Amino acid sequence: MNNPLQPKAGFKGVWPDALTPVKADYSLDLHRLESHIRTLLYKGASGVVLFGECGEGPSFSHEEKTQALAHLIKEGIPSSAIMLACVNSSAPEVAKLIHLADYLKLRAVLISTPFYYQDLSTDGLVNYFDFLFEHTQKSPTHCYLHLLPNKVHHELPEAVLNTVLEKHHERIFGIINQTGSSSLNQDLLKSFAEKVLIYACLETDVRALKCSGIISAMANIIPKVVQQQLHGSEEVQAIQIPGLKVKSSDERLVEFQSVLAQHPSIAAYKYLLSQVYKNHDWKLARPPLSALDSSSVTALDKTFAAFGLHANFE
Amino acid sequence: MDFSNTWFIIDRNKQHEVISHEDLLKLDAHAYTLLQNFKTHQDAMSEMSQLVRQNIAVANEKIDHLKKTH
Repeated sequence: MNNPLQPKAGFKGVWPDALTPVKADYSLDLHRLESHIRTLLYKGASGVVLFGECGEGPSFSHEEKTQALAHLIKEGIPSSAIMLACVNSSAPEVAKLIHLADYLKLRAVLISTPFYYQDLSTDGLVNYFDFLFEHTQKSPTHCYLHLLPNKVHHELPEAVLNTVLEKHHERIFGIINQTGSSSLNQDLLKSFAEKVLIYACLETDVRALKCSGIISAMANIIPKVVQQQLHGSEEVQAIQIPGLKVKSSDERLVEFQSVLAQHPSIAAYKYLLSQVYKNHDWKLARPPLSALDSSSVTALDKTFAAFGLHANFE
Repeated sequence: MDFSNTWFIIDRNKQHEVISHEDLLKLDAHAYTLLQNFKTHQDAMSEMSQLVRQNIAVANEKIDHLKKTH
């Protein structure tokens, strides 16, 4: 008899936490989103996460998410290459997104911990997930618990994770740690590795943790470096950039982290993508976020120029 | 995903170009910078016109700035 709490087969490869483009009037730019995803897939990404932390998920309505997904699939992006992040504190709204993912046959949904509320009890958190899974009982879509930074989202205590995994193990394929905490990876592995897959989202952690897949913000800009990091191969850069000092993917990722340091992350990623695609419209973020201010742009330009991106190889 | 009938915008010799996947494969990877992929030639051309318009706007801003400072 199979152990019901054994880890299931989860997603593999690099899945960029895709940035979401908006037009000058801050409406969702569907054509630019499609092109960004196509480009990432061409560069070797296994798929993308939409409307997640980098994708400004809470800033877009259910209708906009539905419209975006329908457009992408109609234009030929495989539904199996899309995971939908459900960043919301309303269980019925998350349930609606899971039903949408079922209907469109998406690869998976990422269910974040609730935000806004402080001091949630163990019972309250467990009931939240009970409600969610009971209202999506027949859903075949793979679900991942998505841990986001504690300053914004409620932390899921080990007791809650244990209870939720015990009660809903058939639905949960893994835990994705996007809190930015390396030490939490170790704690999760220690407590849950035998029950469920643990995914780290810090690019510099994936090799040590031997993850089979990663959801990566940096992969919006340097997808191939993140792939090299995940697969532990450095040959691509060594062969394809003759005359340059060969740097490991670890070194490049650390360099890239220093490029981004001190700037608001989503605005900084969008600015860098505008430089990669040579299109100024990518700088825009939907309010309440905003584009980088001019002093940040000057500083970021300087460090990004020194980073020396090789867009075809990185 | 099959990219065989798709189109790309690349930078080559400091100019933007729209190129088919088939032609892209014939290029030396060091001779160009890949910008983006598009499903159709029309989509790629539409983006290309926008890039050109943006470049013209940036050049005009620089000219105006020079006029004011001289």
